[in-house]
Amino acid sequence: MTMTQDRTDGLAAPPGGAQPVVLATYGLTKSFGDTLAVDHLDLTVRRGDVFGFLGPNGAGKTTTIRMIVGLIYPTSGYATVIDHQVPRDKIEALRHIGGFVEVPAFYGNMSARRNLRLMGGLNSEVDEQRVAEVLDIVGLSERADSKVGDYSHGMKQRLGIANALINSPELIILDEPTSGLDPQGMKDVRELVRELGKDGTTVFLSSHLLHEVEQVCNRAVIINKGRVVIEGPVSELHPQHSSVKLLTSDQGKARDVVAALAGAQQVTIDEGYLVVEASDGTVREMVAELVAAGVGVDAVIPAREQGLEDFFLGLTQSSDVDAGGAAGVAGGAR
Amino acid sequence: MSRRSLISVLVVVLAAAALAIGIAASRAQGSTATLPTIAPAQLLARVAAAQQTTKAVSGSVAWSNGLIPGSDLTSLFGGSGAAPTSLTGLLMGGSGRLWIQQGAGLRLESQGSGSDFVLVAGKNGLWSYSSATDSATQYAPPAGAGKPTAGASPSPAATSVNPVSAITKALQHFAATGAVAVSGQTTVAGRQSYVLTVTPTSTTTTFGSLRVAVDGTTFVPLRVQVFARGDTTPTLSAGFTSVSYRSLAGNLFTFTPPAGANVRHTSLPSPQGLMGGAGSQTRPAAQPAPLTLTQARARAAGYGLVLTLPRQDSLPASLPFAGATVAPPARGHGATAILRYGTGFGTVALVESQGVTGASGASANFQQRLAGLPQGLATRTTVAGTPGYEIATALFNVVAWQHGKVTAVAAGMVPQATLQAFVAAVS
Amino acid sequence: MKLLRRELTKLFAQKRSYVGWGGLLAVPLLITLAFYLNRNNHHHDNGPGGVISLAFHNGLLMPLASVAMLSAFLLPLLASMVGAYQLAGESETGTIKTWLMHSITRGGVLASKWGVAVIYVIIGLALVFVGGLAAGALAFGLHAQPLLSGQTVGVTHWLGLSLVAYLYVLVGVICVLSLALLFATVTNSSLSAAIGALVVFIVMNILGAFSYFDFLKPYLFTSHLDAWQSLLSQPVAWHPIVTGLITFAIYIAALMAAAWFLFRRKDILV
Repeated sequence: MTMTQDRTDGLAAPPGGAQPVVLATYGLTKSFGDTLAVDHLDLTVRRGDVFGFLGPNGAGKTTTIRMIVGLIYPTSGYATVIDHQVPRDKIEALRHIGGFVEVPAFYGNMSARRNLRLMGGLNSEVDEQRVAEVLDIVGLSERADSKVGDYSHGMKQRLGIANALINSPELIILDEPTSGLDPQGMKDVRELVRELGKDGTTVFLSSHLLHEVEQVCNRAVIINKGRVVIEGPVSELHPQHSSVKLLTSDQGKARDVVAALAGAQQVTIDEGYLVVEASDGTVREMVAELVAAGVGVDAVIPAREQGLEDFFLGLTQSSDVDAGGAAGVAGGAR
Repeated sequence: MSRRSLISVLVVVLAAAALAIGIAASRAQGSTATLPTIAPAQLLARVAAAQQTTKAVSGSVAWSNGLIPGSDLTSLFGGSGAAPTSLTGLLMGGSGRLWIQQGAGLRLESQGSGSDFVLVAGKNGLWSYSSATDSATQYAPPAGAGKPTAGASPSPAATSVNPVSAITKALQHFAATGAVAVSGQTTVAGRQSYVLTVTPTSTTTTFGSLRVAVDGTTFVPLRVQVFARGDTTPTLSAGFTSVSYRSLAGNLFTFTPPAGANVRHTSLPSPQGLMGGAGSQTRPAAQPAPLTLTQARARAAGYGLVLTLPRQDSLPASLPFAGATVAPPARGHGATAILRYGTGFGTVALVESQGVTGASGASANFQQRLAGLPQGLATRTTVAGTPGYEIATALFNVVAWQHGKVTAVAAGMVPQATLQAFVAAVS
Repeated sequence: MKLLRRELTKLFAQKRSYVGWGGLLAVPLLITLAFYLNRNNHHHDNGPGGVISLAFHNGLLMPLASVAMLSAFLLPLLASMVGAYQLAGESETGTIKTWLMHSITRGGVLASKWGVAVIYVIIGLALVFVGGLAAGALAFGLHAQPLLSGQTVGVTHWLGLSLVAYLYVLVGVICVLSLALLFATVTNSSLSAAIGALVVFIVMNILGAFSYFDFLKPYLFTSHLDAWQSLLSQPVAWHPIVTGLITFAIYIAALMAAAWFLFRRKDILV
């Protein structure tokens, strides 16, 4: 069962209340020789989305982004950015885009300020003030006049974001912006992206870290081996049911009690813990029943994080066999 | 990915093809319309008449000399080889530009990379200049050719070195001695031209044919080629590669040596002076009434020259005695006897000349001449036990040797075997 | 165009540009020094040295002597390195991605890189001209000099001829530059592109040296590189110069058209 959205031509006129489409891909495919890197990819990004492009390494994320910005040419299919087709109207489309692909590249023998001045005015006029502004936003104002060749990886990433922002584009495309950063750097970048989202800029973010996408994005698509596995709001990307690990005085009796409950599914014993798939509301009911049954409850541990990672892995692995198919996921038409 | 590289290769090939076509198109010149047929006699008449109608001829020229074996490899990274630095160097072959204005003079510029050799004949005489050696040479006319007229217009030297009129005269002369035919049409220097071919009547000569390409519109000879018998490529060739008939500025034909250059004055080599080296028997003896063998022997003895003559019975059948001239001793050389055997192009000339100084002097002279020839041209040989040398080319052969004080040279446009048989008959 | 301006900014910000220019300038200075030290014991020689040996007495000919020596190899080497680096160097540093994610055409990028490479060569040649003239004037002085055809002409005349010769060599060198740029569109290594162009240049030279390949000669742009020497005779033989310029123009057009076509459709994967 595929979880991708149906594509109809009527999307140009969004159904009442939904934001206009800023970026969409239609059957985007790329093969290098015999290798199929991207396989008929469809996705839709609307204005104001902080859109997560999620997938394991080698899934085809960067290749897809390169096709969207016209760096490489699709074998078939195309993308549209604000009604401009890529690759046909690439020049016009790029006017609305800012961002970087893989490692942001600048001229190491020039300062950050000079680099920004060099690239800044290509899409639209940019003055000194704007350069200073974006440097401030990314926190590079102090080191703005030292050679970029001396910059750390994190500073280069930030400069890349500054370069992306400088023309105030409608769509910002960031390819794994936190890769290679230390935890503080990652935190800073994620915060920045969240801020951008709040300002109404559309952000297209690729990552291989699920929790990052969860923290920052409102919608996401998960791809594996060049194909879409699932697309939807982030909140719906994980099962609505969450797992809970129980530690009780009598695991056996506890299992019987819990299994009898209506809201609980999947009761298993794992590493001494009783693992129960149950929604939040059911947990309270569970504890009350256990206590009533005389079972001492020692610990109730939400296993949500772990479950999600497993879920993600499961999704990407099972998609080798059949696209999608995880339990309890709401795809839904938009 | 391989499809992409295939497209790349295709693009490069197309670009190369477009390039080649573009360059070929830019070099295309001249018309290809065919000319009306014309009889040889008519053509010769038109060529002679052209001297009155076309006063100026100029253009790029190229000439080659296949008589002397030369190297194929020209210098890397430097374009063509160096320009010659002397008149004899000029004879080896080359390319450059030529301007001829009837009544004003002639200018030949032989171009090499980085240097030029310029020959100017005009109001102030005949000059050559080599930029490589920064030396200028003024040539007086050869001894006996008439008073050099300095300041008179145009000097004899000027018109006498006009190659176009010389070719015209030569053609008329050859029409008498050989078969003349219009053998076809070709494009020379971008002009549709008639090809006039002169073939000798003699069957025993190495001279195959003389082909002159004549401009179909102006009837100016544009190219001369000499073919050895049996060859398809010319042994000697000289002609225009581009031509224009616009009238020319007068200052082209005057020459002032640049300040600081070495200036020499010399005289053109005379025909007699050339006899010691390569010889051509097409230059007939200027003296009247050829002598018989006995008369020649007697006159030569009167000058102290003892002639060695070929034995009548050993002479090749194609070379019967045809006449002799004897010149008295003059400055620079002793008494000289020129004996001709054979007819037309198949003539062999036997020149015997007395050395002026003693025996050692004569042989030293001989060695000098030998050393003066281009490398590889002459090979040593022995004639009747005395050392000599021979020159074998596609068009003519020469054997020279000494006996006592007399230098003997046998030369002719005959195959080497014939000449060697002749020489065997002499010794 | 604004792309060209940015390329120029980059050019002047790079150390390697100055290294190349310095190397070019060193040639006429070194030649002048060598000639000056040897001024009493040299001999006239023919061949390509012909023009060069004229400079032994007259500083006026130093620019021509320099360009004669440089155009054989050093200048094509530098031109192919510059042409290759302009495009392939961006692939090596990855900055080509940064450029191409802006609203600019690939053709514009290529044209601006060709333009900045040409400007580089122009500056280099100007340095050689001025440096050679200055050094020559100091060492030997400037005086009237006879042309190859024997007529003596003055200093300004020679300077004019030298300028035209330099312009001619410039166009010839742009051919090598364009060839390197073409190779740079298909490879991401500036070294490979430069070497490729240089190999083609050397092969063309070799082919042109053998009379067996005479039929090819007019089609090889390298055989026209020396044609400026016909400026040194009077009357000037314009035909080889015009032919040379036309050949150069055809080469440059064909090479850059091919480069444009290939660059337009190239997948940027660096």
